[in-house]
Amino acid sequence: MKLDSTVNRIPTVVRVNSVSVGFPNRDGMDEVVHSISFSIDVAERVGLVGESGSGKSLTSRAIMQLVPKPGQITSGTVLLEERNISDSESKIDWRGSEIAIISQDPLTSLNPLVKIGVQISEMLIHHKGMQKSEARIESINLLKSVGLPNPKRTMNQYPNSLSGGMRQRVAIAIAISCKPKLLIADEPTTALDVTIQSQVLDLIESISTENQTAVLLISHDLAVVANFCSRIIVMYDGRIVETGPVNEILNFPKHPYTQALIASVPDLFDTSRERLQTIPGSPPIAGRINLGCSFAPRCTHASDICLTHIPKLEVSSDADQEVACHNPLKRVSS
Amino acid sequence: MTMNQIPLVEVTDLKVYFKGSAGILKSRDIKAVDGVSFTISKGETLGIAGESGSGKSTLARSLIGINKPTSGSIAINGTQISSFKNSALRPIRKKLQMVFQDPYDSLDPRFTIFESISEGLQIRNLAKSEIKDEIANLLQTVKLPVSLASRYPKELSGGQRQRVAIARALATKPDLIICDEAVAALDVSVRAQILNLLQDIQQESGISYLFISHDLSTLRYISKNVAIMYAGKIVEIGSSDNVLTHPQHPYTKALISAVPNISGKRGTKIKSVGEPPDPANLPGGCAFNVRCHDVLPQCSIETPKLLLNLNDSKVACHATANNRNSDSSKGGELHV
Ligand SMILES: Nc1ncnc2c1ncn2[C@@H]1O[C@H](COP(=O)(O)OP(=O)(O)OP(=O)(O)O)[C@@H](O)[C@H]1O
Ligand SMILES: Nc1ncnc2c1ncn2[C@@H]1O[C@H](COP(=O)(O)OP(=O)(O)OP(=O)(O)O)[C@@H](O)[C@H]1O
Ligand SMILES: [Mg+2]
Ligand SMILES: [Mg+2]
Repeated sequence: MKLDSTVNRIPTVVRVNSVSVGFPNRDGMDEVVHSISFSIDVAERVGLVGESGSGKSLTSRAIMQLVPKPGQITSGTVLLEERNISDSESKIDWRGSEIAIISQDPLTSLNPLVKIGVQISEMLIHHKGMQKSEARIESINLLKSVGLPNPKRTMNQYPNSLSGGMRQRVAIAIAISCKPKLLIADEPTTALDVTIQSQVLDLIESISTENQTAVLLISHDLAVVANFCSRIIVMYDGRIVETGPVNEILNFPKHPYTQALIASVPDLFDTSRERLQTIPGSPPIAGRINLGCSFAPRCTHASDICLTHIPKLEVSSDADQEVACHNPLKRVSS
Repeated sequence: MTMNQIPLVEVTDLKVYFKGSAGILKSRDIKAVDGVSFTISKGETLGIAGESGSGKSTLARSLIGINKPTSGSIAINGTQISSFKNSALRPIRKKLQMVFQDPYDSLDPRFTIFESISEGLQIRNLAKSEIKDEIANLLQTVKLPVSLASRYPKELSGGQRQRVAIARALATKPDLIICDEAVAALDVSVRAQILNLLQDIQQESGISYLFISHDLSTLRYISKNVAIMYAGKIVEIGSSDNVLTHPQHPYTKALISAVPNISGKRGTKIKSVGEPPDPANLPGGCAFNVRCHDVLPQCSIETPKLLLNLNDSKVACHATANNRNSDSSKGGELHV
């Protein structure tokens, strides 16, 4: 897509065009991510939230062209700065250096048999062409910047002698080492206490500002997303159900799922120890073919059409906010 | 807590040290757990929060015998497990289950979900047909479709894997489940469903939980008592209402002040903090003194004891002990 020359628009770093992901089954494909489209601007910080199993990690892996086998991208393209990376052969060039990922499970991204120091220096030597000694110094700095108490010792340790949060911070250090254009962070702070979490998010924020790095933050912590991101994408059962500016979505959700999700956030200072609020009913079964909206069976606003027609993601009356719902919630001022 | 009842878990002055690495660097021991005591009664939940690397997982692993205590004692139902031979412990350990922070520690990647859970069911001597039904049951309780049973762990999402690990722990009908960040990968709604479920099971069966979580609102809901760990020690312990809403220790205050808020309008940015301590080279006295606002001369010399506070929490802090009547609402920031 051409940039509009009359408007000084921020350029796009990544564009996801109608990407679907499926896993082969006996008689075809189970599609678990259904034709997803969105784009991320340079230096923009976007939050990706949604139900467990809704396809957030697979979407991020699809951007990286790393969908786990036997899964595959069944349709769609991914553009990195207008370059189609969906079928390029020179994947090694951009992976890690232009788009980096902090994967949800830090152990799978760290090699258990290789010392931390080697794992992080290798990135710098390979992608930045650093000398060994230079890479070592830079590695120590990176480990220090993610709040590891003794970076020099950590360099000589293997992943299994680190705590969960320490491993997570090593994975973060590796991901930011090459100052990528897009950083995908899949639940990067689940193993961190809130003070270190805020320190790490500050660090990612300053990297984002200094190097114009865009961030796609996948998180179940809506408060973290509220504080860190400017835009939010909400997924349910392999589809984007709502997207828009973070303040709009969190204060005036239009999709009943988004609203129910926000209502489930527990309050630390709520003294009435009643039961936690949940969304009634069961999560959908990914891959099952639905006629209508897959949230309909759990939705208090569902009407007949919801059971027969899948709603499209459409711009709502409020600018910038898009919602896929036949009966979107009205904006009520509180 | 009833006075004359034997607690399910009684940990006394537990220390777990790791040998420092032999190498170019001076090898000091890492005091991962350094003098921890607590009890968990039957049917009760103790929550543990604290700094990353403060020894929570090590403490949990020592309860199920993975990390050997350096000193101190662990008693389960009144039986010392730190002094027994491994074979004698097996029947006791079977009644303890752990959901590990890393789901791959709970689930063997070579086993299907069905196989993993049925392994847990073995000790209940069920018939083949019963096993199948029970697995379907367990998956439904953790809100997973039964069709996932034939998959391998890597074919699940992060949150689905965690729920399988919980189902596997529940399968054995244990006396205690240690949940180490067991709900961290779940969205808030599914997490709430699982927490409600764990509460229900506790009410029905009198099971106890040791719940490790960085999410303080999870702890507030699930646990009767909460302990806060810093650098291998419990710095504050008491009822979850007291500890989480009227924190006394400066570290607890700092922790709670850093909890991000969903209605946090952009601009109310989360504070940045100072350096976490190096477990192989802790500052003398109170390990928190180098980051503390209320620091007194004695804080760098003498390790504060965990003492009963006015509001029934125990707090290890010289400053809190000195001015118990002072305003507890101030403070709560770390030195940068
Ligand atoms: N290898 C696989 N084979 C079959 N199905 C898979 C495989 N990997 C993932 N899935 C399914 O695809 C769906 C999306 O998974 P994904 O990991 O993207 O979820 P997620 O949104 O990241 O969830 P969570 O928040 O729990 O991490 C899930 O229902 C999952 O079971
Ligand atoms: N096998 C080991 N060998 C050496 N050191 C270890 C080993 N296991 C843990 N440690 C160290 O012990 C300390 C406590 O680790 P532990 O995993 O108990 O922390 P934690 O409180 O669970 O942290 P997190 O919240 O990050 O999971 C850390 O400094 C860690 O590096
Ligand atoms: Mg995921
Ligand atoms: Mg841990």
